Amino acid sequence: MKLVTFAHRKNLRSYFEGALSISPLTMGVIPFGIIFGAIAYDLGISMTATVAMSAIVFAGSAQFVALGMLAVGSGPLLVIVTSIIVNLRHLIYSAWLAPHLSTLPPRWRALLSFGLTDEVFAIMSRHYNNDKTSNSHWFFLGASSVLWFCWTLSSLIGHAMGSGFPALNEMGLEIAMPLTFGSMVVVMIKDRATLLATFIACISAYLGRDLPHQLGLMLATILGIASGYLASRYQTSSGESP
Amino acid sequence: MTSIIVGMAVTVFAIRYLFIGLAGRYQMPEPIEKALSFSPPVVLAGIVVTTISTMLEVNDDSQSMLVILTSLFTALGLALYTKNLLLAISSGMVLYGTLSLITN
Repeated sequence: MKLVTFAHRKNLRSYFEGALSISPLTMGVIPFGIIFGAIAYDLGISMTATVAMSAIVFAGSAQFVALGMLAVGSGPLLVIVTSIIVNLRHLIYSAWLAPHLSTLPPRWRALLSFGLTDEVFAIMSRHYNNDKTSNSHWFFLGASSVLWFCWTLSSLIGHAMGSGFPALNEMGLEIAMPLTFGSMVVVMIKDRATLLATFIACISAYLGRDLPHQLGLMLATILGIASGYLASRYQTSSGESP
Repeated sequence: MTSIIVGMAVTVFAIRYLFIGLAGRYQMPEPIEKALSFSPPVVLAGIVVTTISTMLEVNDDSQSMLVILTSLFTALGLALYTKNLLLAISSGMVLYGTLSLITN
């Protein structure tokens, strides 16, 4: 009995550590959720549909794109196909995380997959690289559930307030995400191949910034990964440690 | 609206679940595994560049651009030299808030 309690306590601790580690990123997510709710309200989408979308789709950029497309009268199929394109980068997240989650039962894998966003991937890639434990799935659940709660609740608040909070756009809280992700990237660069991969990704993302449906980001990811891989092969074949 | 929400929910989940669901049932080829190891810095850097360029396009006066870039590079510099993420991010945020207040 004592053992069970101990295990539960460890799980709970991992859960709260995950929740805590994602908390700086919620600063950037909450304003976006409120703006999402407010735009949905402006477009005449019901509160139930707005909150349901945030709660069961849980994909910020795809949801914004969907609103934009609905505003110009696109059909459901086109909206869904575009949301797939916008979210293609999640395939890479899924592939990267797969080896770390391979021992979990299917219901855990499904639950954690549902909560896999950019922010959660950022936190989890760092966690699995540096501090992986047998309770890491609880850490993952803590991070994703806090983000889900903030996203869903802020969409609800945004819809309830309608366009009554216009200054939120100007508060500049969206800087939280690039500052966090940027700092994480700097710490992740530990060899020349990663430095090159990151550099190529930055240049490609900048050049492809005007491509539709975040395809520039996808292109940057593919080119960055490919150049990092080629550089690491070159380093290995020329006898330099990667 | 229901069809859009359900359709998006199913497809977004399927993309996220694909490899995680298959994990353990197949062995990823070694070159792919090696290539994927670059994905965290690469994707996150791509998101940073995309977000910052959008912010610079929206706030296209030189003062706002300077505030955004100074805060970003201060955070990046601190992350590089101290390896302390919390210090880097909070310093960048505080600097951004202060500079925004001063320049407004």
